[in-house]
Amino acid sequence: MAYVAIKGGEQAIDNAHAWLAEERRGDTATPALSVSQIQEQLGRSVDRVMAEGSLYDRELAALAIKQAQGDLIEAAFLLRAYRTTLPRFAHSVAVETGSMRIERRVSAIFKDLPGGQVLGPTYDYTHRLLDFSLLGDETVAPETETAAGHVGTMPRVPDILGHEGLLEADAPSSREPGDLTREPLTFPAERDVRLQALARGDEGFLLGLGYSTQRGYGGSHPFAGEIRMGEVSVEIEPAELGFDIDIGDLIMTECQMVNQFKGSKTVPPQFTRGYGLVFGFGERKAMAMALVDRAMRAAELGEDVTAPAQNVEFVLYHSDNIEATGFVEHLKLPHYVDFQSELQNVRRMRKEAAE
Amino acid sequence: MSARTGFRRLPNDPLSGSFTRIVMAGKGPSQIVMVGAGPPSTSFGVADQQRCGWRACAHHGGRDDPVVRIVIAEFGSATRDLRCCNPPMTEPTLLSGRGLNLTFGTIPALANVNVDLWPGELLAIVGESGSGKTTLLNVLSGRLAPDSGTVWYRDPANHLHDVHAMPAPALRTLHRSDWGFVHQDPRQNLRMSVSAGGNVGERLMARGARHYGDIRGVALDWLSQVEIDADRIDDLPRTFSGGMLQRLQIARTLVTHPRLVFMDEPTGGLDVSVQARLLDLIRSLVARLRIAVVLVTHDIAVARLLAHRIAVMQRGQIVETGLTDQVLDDPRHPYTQLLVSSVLNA
Amino acid sequence: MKGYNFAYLDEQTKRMIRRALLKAVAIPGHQVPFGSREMPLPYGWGTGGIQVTASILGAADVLKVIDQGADDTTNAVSIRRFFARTAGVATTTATAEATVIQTRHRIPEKQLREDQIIVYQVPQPEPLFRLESSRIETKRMQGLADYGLMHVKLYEDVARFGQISISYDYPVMVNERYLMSPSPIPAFDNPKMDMMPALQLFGAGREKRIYAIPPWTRVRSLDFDDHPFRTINAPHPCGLCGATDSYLDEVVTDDRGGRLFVCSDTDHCAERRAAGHVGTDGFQEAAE
Repeated sequence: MAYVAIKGGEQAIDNAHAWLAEERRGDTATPALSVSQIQEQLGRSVDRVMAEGSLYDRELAALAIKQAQGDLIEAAFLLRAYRTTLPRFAHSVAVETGSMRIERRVSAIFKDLPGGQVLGPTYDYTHRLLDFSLLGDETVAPETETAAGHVGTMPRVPDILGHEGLLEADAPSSREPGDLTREPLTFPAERDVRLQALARGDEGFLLGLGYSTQRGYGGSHPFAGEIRMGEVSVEIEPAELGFDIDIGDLIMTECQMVNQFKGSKTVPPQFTRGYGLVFGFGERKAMAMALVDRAMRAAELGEDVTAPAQNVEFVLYHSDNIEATGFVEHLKLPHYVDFQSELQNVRRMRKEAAE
Repeated sequence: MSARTGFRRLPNDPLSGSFTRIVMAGKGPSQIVMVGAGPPSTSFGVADQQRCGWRACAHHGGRDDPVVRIVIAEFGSATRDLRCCNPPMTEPTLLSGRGLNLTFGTIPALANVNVDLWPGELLAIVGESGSGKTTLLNVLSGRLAPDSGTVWYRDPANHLHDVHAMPAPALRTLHRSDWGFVHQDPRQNLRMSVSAGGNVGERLMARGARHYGDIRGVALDWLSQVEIDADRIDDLPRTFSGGMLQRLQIARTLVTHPRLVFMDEPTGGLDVSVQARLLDLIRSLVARLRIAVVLVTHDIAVARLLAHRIAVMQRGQIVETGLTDQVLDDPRHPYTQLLVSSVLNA
Repeated sequence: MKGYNFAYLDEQTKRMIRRALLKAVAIPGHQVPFGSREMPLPYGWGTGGIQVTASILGAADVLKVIDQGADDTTNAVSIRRFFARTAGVATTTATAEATVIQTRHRIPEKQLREDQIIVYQVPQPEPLFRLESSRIETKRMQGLADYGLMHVKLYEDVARFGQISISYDYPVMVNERYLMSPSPIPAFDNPKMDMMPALQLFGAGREKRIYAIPPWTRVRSLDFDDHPFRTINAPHPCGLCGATDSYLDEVVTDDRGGRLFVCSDTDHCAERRAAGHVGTDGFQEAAE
């Protein structure tokens, strides 16, 4: 028997990468997908990658999707790894969603309200029937009754409800918000850090957790107070200027969940809030985020902490899909040494047990 | 232990020689006549405890006897067991709460509570649910901070510690060595995925025991003390009955010979027959090891069987305190009277 | 590499990591939280070790990267390439030539020296995590040196198996104060950590913790007086170089139960063979 020690890791890696590149491109008889096509026609994918990649750049997100063959977690990972190398020039002032240029705004708690209900570009009420006409080339642009565009600004539902004191007020804070990308997570984690983690968190994970709160695992009787999507201005205040300057716009989705609260020994009965805010059109994620945000406030509101969604440590440590995918997938790295030590251990124990 | 150490002698000293009858004059409602039924060598110790009345203590030929049958003529000539053999109350207290206050929102959970515990004494805190007794237990054990007031603990070196001002490591050390906590639900204390032996051995190992054979030996000894078969030592607690779980919890807690144990409804949720066996076990272990115990129970019968003294709580206040039999047989406070009569009627 | 700083990370980040390293060295075995950055390699694939290496690497350093003891496993190749590309440092497979050794799952067989630094990739820095999942609670246990639970685990092993059955990531007590995960190295390697002349640094990127063992520090593997720590290895010499004192990989040579045991430390094995040592299977290899 002859044995030659395994060599050639370098060559194997190069070959694998070459094969991957060929796979990604696919059949060259089909024209290559352009980044602008992804940006324009796979907008929801772009939005999700921007949200989980924590970087608002539609073009780079589209590039990442192309490079990752549409694997959105891989694309978010590419975006994150790029983002971390970027220098930081400034922090924006808090985005004012109250002056959002609305494209969609619905409330489930008032039939009508100032500004009205605006459905916007939603899949709600579509019948989920495959549209076989899309199989062919779309030569004619879809018609819209009213030209797509902003409806204007409208007051936020919580501000309407807040006047009566029925809804808890936002807790004012003069503290600089935390930043998970610079400082490691520590406990107790304040709400600013929790919200940041949720905003970056995996949509599927949050969806499942949010859903679990509706099925009795830490439920808090939520109502969708308001969901709004539209364009907000990003402003920074350079120290040398002393006033804000508008540096551009973002599309964002905000969800305000309104939850029943029976009151405690110190607080009269009132409605409490769960909050969700994500880049782009991310209504599902924003709603799930708001449910989980509210669930994680259980301890603060004197509720029993029993369900997974209420366990801050559990939620925050497991919501990041870049961390999760890396660690789950690291299991395919070699573990020869550990497995070998286990093998020897089991053999020895079996031998000693037999003696 | 000398039979008389620290005892306050009464004017006509009844504490020597053989006798069958003692007559004492006290601050009580009337004269109490006690008739000793022990052998001629029995001596009785009597101590005055502030406002609490009389307590008796018996020693047979120098050996402690926890129970002496005494007839208290004044109260209808009932013959009962009277727990005694207590350390004299002139010793310094082991644990003292002073001016404890705690409110939850607007509800006072503790209102100016003062409480004392002497070494080797079993104090029962009784009251209905919501009376503040578990809150008091948590405050006394340092698990819950009061709004005001102080809990003092006297360590073996006779140093006093303000429990709520102790650094966390010191309090944690206290909880895993000198102190113990027995929960109503043993699952709160036991590690359900660790064998019975591991459960009993944990406190020893936390204290630095590093010899497997020794640890296992002590665990075996303790399992036998709490009447769990030695061949269950490697079984997981989930295979144990409710009564066994509670006995295992007691072994796990007492293995380091704590001086002070807090017990929260230790027999709650158990069948009556299982309860009786457990109470017996607690009584004998506590007496033999001279452990001071603060016991919270809503069950007057449990308190009557185990406790030397009783503190009755209502709406966050201690409304009556005294020797167990005195309080239960001659309740002064209307609430105590109600509690006692409700048990009698039940 | 164009467009990136030396060794990828910007200097601010490196400074932050070096501060964490200094603290870690000052408190041997204590886990120091640090602002772990997202790296272009996945979490769990060595991001912690890479950040530590990037922060301590200088232009004159010579880097060796091993995974499972070998220089040529794919992940070791990938990480070595990363630094060759982003820092342009010299790399080597020879343990003796390296100034910085980044490792996953092994400690080289050759005794390390005072002028070397070994950087461990750590998937899970908290040695208590399997016994207590809450990091709030494990942090408290670490702070109070409350390690009874870990001993309970060892007790359970002896009660059930007659021996401590941990074969890798075997918990150690550092400087008689902090309980520490040695990273998933085989228990065989644990004794090498004790009083090691080289500085040992540990990076956990996903868990955002750094810890360290200064040179010449006592590292004790937990055990009982009557069940002392012992190492496990295959009861064979290396098939290629005949070594009897090195940690061996088991190679399956056919589907009929054929096995070959060879040094997991490829450099150690190659060096021995170059010096003329031959194992039973190595001889045949040389003959071909």
